[in-house]
Formats: sequence, C-alpha cells, structure tokens
Amino acid sequence: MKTYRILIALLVFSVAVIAQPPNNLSGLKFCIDPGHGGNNPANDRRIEPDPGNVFWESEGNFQKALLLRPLMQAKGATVLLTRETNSYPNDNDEPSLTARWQFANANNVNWFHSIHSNAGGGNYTCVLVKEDISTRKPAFPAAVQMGGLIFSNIRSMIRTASSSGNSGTTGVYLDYTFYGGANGGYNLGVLKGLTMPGELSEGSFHDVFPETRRLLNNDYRKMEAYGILNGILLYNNCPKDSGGIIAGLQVNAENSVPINNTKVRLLPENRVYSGDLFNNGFFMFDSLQPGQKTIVFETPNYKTDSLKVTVAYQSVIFADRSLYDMIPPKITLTQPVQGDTNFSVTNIIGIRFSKTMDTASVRAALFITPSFPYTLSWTNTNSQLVIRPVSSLPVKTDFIVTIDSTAKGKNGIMLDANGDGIAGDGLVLQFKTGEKDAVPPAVVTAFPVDAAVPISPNQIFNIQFSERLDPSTVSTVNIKIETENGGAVASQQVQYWDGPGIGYVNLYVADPLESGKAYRLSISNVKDLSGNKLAATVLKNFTTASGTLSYTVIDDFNSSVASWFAPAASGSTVGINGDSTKFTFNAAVKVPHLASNTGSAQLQYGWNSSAGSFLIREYLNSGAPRDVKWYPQNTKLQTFLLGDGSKTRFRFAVDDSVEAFPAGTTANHEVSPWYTVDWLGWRLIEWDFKETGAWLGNGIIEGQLRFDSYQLQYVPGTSSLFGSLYFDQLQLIKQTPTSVRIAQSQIPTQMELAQNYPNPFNPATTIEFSLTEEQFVTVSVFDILGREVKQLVHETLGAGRYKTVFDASSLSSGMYVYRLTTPNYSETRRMMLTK
Amino acid sequence: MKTNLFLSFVFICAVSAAAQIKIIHKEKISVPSSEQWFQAQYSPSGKDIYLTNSGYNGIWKYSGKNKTLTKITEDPGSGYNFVVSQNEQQIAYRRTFQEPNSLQRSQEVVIKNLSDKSERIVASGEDIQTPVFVADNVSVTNLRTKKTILPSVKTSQPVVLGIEDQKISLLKKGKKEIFDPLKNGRYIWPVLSPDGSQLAAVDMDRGAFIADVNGTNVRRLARCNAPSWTRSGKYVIGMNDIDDGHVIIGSDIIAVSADGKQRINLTETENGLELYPHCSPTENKIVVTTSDGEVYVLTYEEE
Repeated sequence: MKTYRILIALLVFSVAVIAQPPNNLSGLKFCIDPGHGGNNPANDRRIEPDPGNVFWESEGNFQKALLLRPLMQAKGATVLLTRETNSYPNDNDEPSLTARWQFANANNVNWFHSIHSNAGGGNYTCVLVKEDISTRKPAFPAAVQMGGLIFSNIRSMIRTASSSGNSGTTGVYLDYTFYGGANGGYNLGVLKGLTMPGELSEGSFHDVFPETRRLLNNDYRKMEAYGILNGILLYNNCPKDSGGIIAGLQVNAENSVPINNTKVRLLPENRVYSGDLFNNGFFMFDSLQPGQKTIVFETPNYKTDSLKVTVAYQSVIFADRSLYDMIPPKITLTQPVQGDTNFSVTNIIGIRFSKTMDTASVRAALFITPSFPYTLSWTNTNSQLVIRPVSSLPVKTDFIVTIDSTAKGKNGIMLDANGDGIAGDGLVLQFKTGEKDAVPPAVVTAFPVDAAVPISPNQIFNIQFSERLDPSTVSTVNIKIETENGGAVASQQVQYWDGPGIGYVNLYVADPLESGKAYRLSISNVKDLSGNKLAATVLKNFTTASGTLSYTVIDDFNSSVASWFAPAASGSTVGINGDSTKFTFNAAVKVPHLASNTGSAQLQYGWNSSAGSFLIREYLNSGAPRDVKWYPQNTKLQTFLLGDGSKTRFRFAVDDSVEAFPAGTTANHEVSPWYTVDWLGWRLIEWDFKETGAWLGNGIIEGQLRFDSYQLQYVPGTSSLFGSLYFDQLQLIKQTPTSVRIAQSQIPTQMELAQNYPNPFNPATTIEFSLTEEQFVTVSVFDILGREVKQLVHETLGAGRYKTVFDASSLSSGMYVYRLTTPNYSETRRMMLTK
Repeated sequence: MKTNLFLSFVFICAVSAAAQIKIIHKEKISVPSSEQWFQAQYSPSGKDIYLTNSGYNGIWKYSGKNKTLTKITEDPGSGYNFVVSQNEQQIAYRRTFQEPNSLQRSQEVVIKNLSDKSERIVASGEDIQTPVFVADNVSVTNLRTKKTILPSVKTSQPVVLGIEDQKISLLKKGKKEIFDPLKNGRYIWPVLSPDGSQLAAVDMDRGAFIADVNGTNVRRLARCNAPSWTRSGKYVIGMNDIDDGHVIIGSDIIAVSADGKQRINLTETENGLELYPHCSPTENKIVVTTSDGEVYVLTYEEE
C-alpha cells in the first residue's frame, strides 16, 4: 500500500491546473499524419499538370506536415509526425494506416490530425471524423468541434476551388456516413483505432490544375498549415497566429495565365519573393508586423506595378495582380483583307489585335477616308475592334482605314502593325466597296417553328436573316405571331441582334400561347441596310403542344449563382484557359419578357487550345435549386440561352435514379444531346429526355432525376476560343395530357371515334377514341360554321383506347362537331351544348 | 460443427513444402455481434481470451472453459494496452477522460481485482503511460516527467515498459533503459521473445525488425505489423495489412522466422481481413480479430 501512496503522490496532477484554459499549446502533444506515403501511383495520387511538373499527394501532405510542425512547436506544442520521409524504396516500409494510429496511441498524444487533399476523388473541402457505427454518432464529439474550426480556417487560407460541401453542414462529416453508410460505408483506417480525438482534413482540390500547380509551391502548402494551426489554436481558446500574411496570384492580364519566375518586393521590409516555374504565379509573405506595406510587382518582362495595403494583427491579405507583358501589339486579322476590291456595302469592318488594347488610344488614332457614320465596339477582352457602319456604305468607293502608331496596347506599348517586333508603326488598310446591294434580305431560319413539331407554349422565337437589317424596320408590326387565321396575339416584343453580315431577331410573347392550338409566325416588310425589302411575306405555321401546363423553377438566376460551382471546381472540367472561365450573376442581361426577371447567369469561357480534351461542367452544387427532383414523363427541362454565335457545344446533365442513389454516383450522370450554339440572341433550349448523349452514365434515363450541370465543349477548328453565354430561368415544364389512356387488356382492332357523353352537355363532356397503332393524332372541335374552337389532342399516341375532356365553359349553346384525324383515318361526330 | 469444419478447410491455406509452420484449424469464437471486437489477447495461462471493442471503451473476458463472456469494465480507453497479472488475479489499465470543448484530458491507471471487482487508482495525470506488470507488481510511467515507478522486485528477464519519446523503454535488471537498435528509430509494437533474448518491433519509416535485446543483430522483416511471438520463440506472427491510404483493403496473418530469413503466409482469405494476431503463451494457438469485428482462434502446427 505504501508503494501505491508514493506512486500516487508522484503522479497526481492538480485538477485545478487541468481546468485552467491554457493560453498556448504548451504541454500538449500532437500527432500529425501526412496522408499516403511514397510514390506508388495506385495510392499516392500522381498528377502531372504540365510536362515534367509532377504532383504527388503524398509529397504535398508530407511538406504541409513539415511546415506545420515548427509553427505548432513555436506555440509550445510537442509534435510527432507519423512519417519523416516520403521516400520508400520498398513500398512495404511505408507505415500502414494501422501503424499510424498505433504510433499516436503509443506516444499517448492529446490529438491526432491527418492531412489529405481531394476528398473521395472529388471536390469537397471537408474534415472527416470517426463515426461510432453502432450509434451513428461521433466517436469523439470534441473532434467535430475542432474539425469545424480547422475546416473553416483551411478554406479561408487556401482559396480552394473546391466546394464547401453540402449546405447546412459545418464542413465536418462522419466517416462511415460520408462513405455510404449502410451502402458500403466504413471507418477511415487511420482514425479507426485512435484512443484520442482526431480528424482527417481534405483541404485542397488537387485535381484542378490551377490548384495542382499551386500545390507544387511550398509557400502555398504553408497556407494550409497556417489554416490547421489556427483551427487548433482557436479550439484551445488561444488567439490565431499573430503574424500578418500577404499572398496572391500573378497572371498575365491578357490571357489570365499564371506567370512564372515572378519577383515581388515588399516594402518597407525590402523582402523579395521569387516565384517558381510551376505555372502558378503564387507569392506569399508571412510573419509580418502590422503596418502599411507596399507590394511592388517587379516580374521581368512585365510592366511594373505596385499596391499599398495595410497589414493588421492576425490579418491575411490576398493581393492578386494581373500584369501586362512588354510585347508590342500586332494586327492579326482584318475584315476586309488588305486590297479587297469587292467589299459588301452592308458588311462591318473588323480589326483584330494580338493583345488587349488601350481603347481610348486606338479611338484617337483611328481615321477613315472618306468618312461615314459608324459605331465602334470591342470584343474578346478589348482585342477586337468592330467598326459598324450606321447605314450601307457607298458603292464602288475606295476607303482607307488608318490606325496610326500612337495606338497603344493596354501595356502602354505602341502598335507594331507590320509585326516586325518593333513598336511604332501604324496600320493603313485600303479596300474598295462593290456594287449596290440589290438583294433583299431573306429568312434563313426560324427557331423553333422550322422543326414542324408542336412547340412548347412558352417558347420564344429566334429568326436569322441572310444579312444585317435596318433596325428601324424590326417591329411587332412586321414580325409577329398570329392565330392561324391571322388573328392578333397580345403583348409581343421584338429585339434585334446585329451580327457580322447577318441579323437575328428575337420575338417574345409575354404570356404563354394557348396549348393545343394552331398559330403562325408572320414576317414582312423588314429591310436591309440598303433599303431592300423582304421580297414577300413569310408565314410559318406551327402548333403548340396540347395538355395542361405547369412550371417548376429550378433557378431563376434573379439574385446570385451561389448554389453553383465555379467552372474549374468540377473535376470534370478540362481544357479551359486558366482562371479566366467564370460563372457569375449578371443583372444587366436577361430575357426581357419574363415577369419580375432581374438578371441571368453569365458563363464566360476561354479554352486552352493546346489541351487534349475540352469540357466545362458548370455544376449545380447545393441549396434549394438542387432539391428539385422530378420524373421525366411528360416533362421537359428548359433554359433560356443567349447565344454568342461561337459554335461552342452546349448540353444539359442530370443525375438519374436519385431515389436509389441520393448522394449521386458517377454512373448516374446522364446528358442530353449536344446543341451547337451558332446563333445570336435568346433561344429556349429544351430536353424532353427521349434522346441522350454519351458521358458517364449508361445513356438510359431511369427513375427520378435531379439537375447536375450545364456543360460546354470546344470543338477544335470550329468553335471560338473565347466567348460568353448567358443562362436564364432554368426550369421544368410539365404537360399533363388532355387525352388519358384507358386501361384495357387488348389492343383495339379498329379505329373509332365514340359518341361523347353526356350529350347534350353543360359545360363539359368526354370523348373517347381508339387507335390500332401508334400515330400522330388530332382531335379538334368546330362550330357549325366550320371554325375550329378548340384543339383537344395534337400529339403522337400509341395503340389503345383514350378519353379526352372538352370544356365548353366559354362557348355558347349550340351544335358542335368534333373530328378525329390521323394520317390514314378521319371520323366526325356531332354534339349539343345546352346552357 | 459441420459448418465450422468446412470453414476451416477453406481457410487453411496452402503453404510451400518448405514451410515449417502452418495453420491446421480455424474456429470462430461465439461472442455477441453487438460489439466490433478488437485486438483479442490471451491471458498469461492461455486459458482465457480478453477482448476490447473498436473504440477501446471496455474490456471483456471470454472464458475458454465456460465459453462465456464477462464484462470487466467499460471505462473509456481502458481497452488499449491493458495487462493481466501472471497470477490472473488482477488487471491493470489506463482510462482517459476527455475534457469537453478542450484539448485537455485526465488519465488514471487502475488496478482491478478480478475476484472481488474492487479497483484502485494507482496513478493519474495528463500524460500517463499504459501500465505493465512486473512480477505481479504494476509499473507505470509519467510521460511528462519521464519518471517511472518501478517495483522493488527484480526480474531475470527484461520487460517492455512502453514507448517513451518514440523510443522503446525497457526494464533490464531493475533499471530503465531506452532501447534504440535502429538508431534514430521511431518505434511501435515492441514485444519480447518468450526467453527475453530478442525483441520484435516496427519502425515507422523502416518497417518491422527483430534485434537481440542488447541492440545487435538487427534483422529487417518488411511489413509485419502488431507482432507476437510464438511460444517456442521460433517465429514472430504478424499482420500484413494493405491499404489504399484511406481504408484497409487486405490483411493476412504471416509468420517470420526469428532469423528473419523465412516469411510464410499463414492465411490467404479472400473475403476476410485477419488482424492483430496474439499468440497463446501455452498452446499453439493464435487469436485474431477481423475487420468485421469477429474473433477467431487459429491452431498452428510448428515443425
């Protein structure tokens, strides 16, 4: 007994001491586990974003741990690493997962943390903690609290493109549930045997190349180390690390490509940061004292720039900079070409520069002889000038367009029009116009009525003309929707889009058209810029789909795109141009006829033409929009899309079988066919789920659906490298058919239109009919003078017996006729409305 | 029994003609599936099996005689590295209480009398090593002060006291000694051979090894985790667990000869992951747990 008393006396620590909150990490032991280990491609995540630049997650995790250790030690902590190397010539010498937690247990640490990236091969920044599988609760509740702080601090430091995970979470997930729960879930091997709280952080999104490239930089890795440190400090009621940090990215202002070999100077400390060669443009200064600083961007061959910032206690300042190189701008393309002798009098003049221009200097340096009224506009990030004559140019006239050498690029360097590499020479473009334009404009396409199938009643119309139009002739008097007999349709609106040598007109109808009814598109009297009038009135007949309509909005894009990933955040996005591809809310551009419409979503894209494959997956990640689920029967997915004529390909993607796989799986990603964006103006793009494209799923639409993404693809040699598309009103339209199939065991042996019942009727009656085979069917009602008063059915139906209801509430008493029409059969009957 | 015999047949792996140890029988221990059983170990007499769960929150005793399971304690953390005295009258373990919303914790080393269920706290603090028995007396180390309470009795064979500053702490001739045979090693799972002349352990960056207890004659074993000596001292039994960086995807029980030259797979089970082997000190038996939390006894034949 005496022995034990002595023993207790020696070992007992004061409970009072334990209860006091510490002001640092002194006396605490941590085990930091750099996840993975070695260079085994199967397990250690090898990625080569650029030839010769190889990223290994095992190495990235290891370097982060090496950087974290001294930061924690400076706070008084004892820090043990499960790995002291990332070199394992014999793969079996790498510590196994069981060895890692055993190491933490054997050394009796207070806390365990494992560093990883790219959760589950995907894009969640998250923290995972061990789940007690029997109770489905955290094995160590404290790990959830610590994990939440580590999560938020990592995200604030590394500016990852990854998602913040599902909405409503703190970024902390229970491992067994995260990996599927009862459907194959498991405890993470590195957490399974811990005797103390611990967690595993998935910080960066290393599959996205801008981030992969940054992850090759040790100072970028150190940002994550700071994030983990600050999470631990805050949990322990200690202030964050006190040193200020300034970090940022330097990119080429004209193509957003990160710059190598950068040089950044920080004043007054006169510290210099030398960038690496990994195409990330990253720089970072840490351990800064509070005060005003000047950041001088001195990267060789770029225009020097500077920025003043004020560093506060514990502050982190991100100071990205777009720098202009010192290469003089050249002329890369002109329209007309030099010496053209037959330039169309209605065409526009275009001049493409090799670099972003100082537009004011170009405007001042521009002279046209002889002069004519025109408007100027810039496209492609101010590298392409469009001179748009207000009216037709005079015929058989010699013109000289001059841009003198005072025109400058955005970098301040004067024009090098002859492309010899020496700045200071201007452009002299000579051309001659051709004969008078005597050809009238023509309608080339009329979307969607050219398709000759019933259209959705909420469609808008997009008409392409063979040449530019005189905008004053584009009106609802000349371009309009009418009933099939020429009757007026209320509340229409037109919008003109002036293209290169062609014109587009959008026609909007404020209220959806009536379903199941015949209309026509009427185009007349529009003129081109030479005053030539459309040769004859163009009438395009069409019908609207029948049935009762209902709409479900997924996202109206009226306030933000917060529920959507940045384009680069999806692991499926490839071949884009650096950080220049963006998805943002835009309040200025919107479909004009929608009620209470306050904006749209703009997808600016740029492609890296040297990439091997190209795809933007603009992913709907979270929030109420993602909660919308539906079944495909009688339903179409719709979005308004403002085309840029770029011939970029567009498609929808959905998850199917959502009821079976609520978390989604790769195999459940189905896509629509591609639509080539070869138009200007708005179109309503629809997918009825009957045809599919090829992507990750099996190409068969099954079960319940949920929206996944908009997708774009560049087609080499065909699509533009840069552009901008706008999306508005992503929604579902459900058409409940007016004809309902009657359950019968046998297929009818003859066609039949049955007598309506009741008859006489007031105000509604039922009409049944039988079909012996699948065919296109119309059932219409006419008054006694032969005028159609209602189209009840106008669609393709399979063999069987059907019924449809005729509601005559708005009609007056009298005799009416109803007719069943198919390609090979017609039958008519009478009925009496008695009010 | 028919089922068990069939399972045993499937389980027994083919080994090479040169193999001198092989499994000849496998038997599933009937314990409730309410817990994920973890890290089973034999009692000093080899008659009983002690178990914990995957959270180390408790200790259970499975009686080899009665085939019954008895809960000893459900103290938090008690299942990690607990020890049973040679006379099997006492069990010593460490329990840990995590302070809410804090990195702080308190730990206590408890000795529990297995007959009358009484318990005594023999050490407490923030950083206390798990206890060991030295001739039925408890030894425990305060890892913060590095002070070890050593019983006055001296044993002829060395005793592993635990891991201290990543090194192996040994009790040799009544004195504590830090053992670092690989130089700058970082060790886990140290275990002495039955005669106390050799020590098997795992170094975090260099894998498993055997060394003479004087630090010489180091033999590298590659992966042989959670090693346990057969009672003959001829083999070290361990697990060859394979993972993908996130989860264990395979594990078999292996035997490595004491000279390090012979490595034999004792199991090659496709659908089960055998983990944490522990050899009986008195019979040719190994108890293992599986990734599903089941418990098996493997009977081996050693030539």
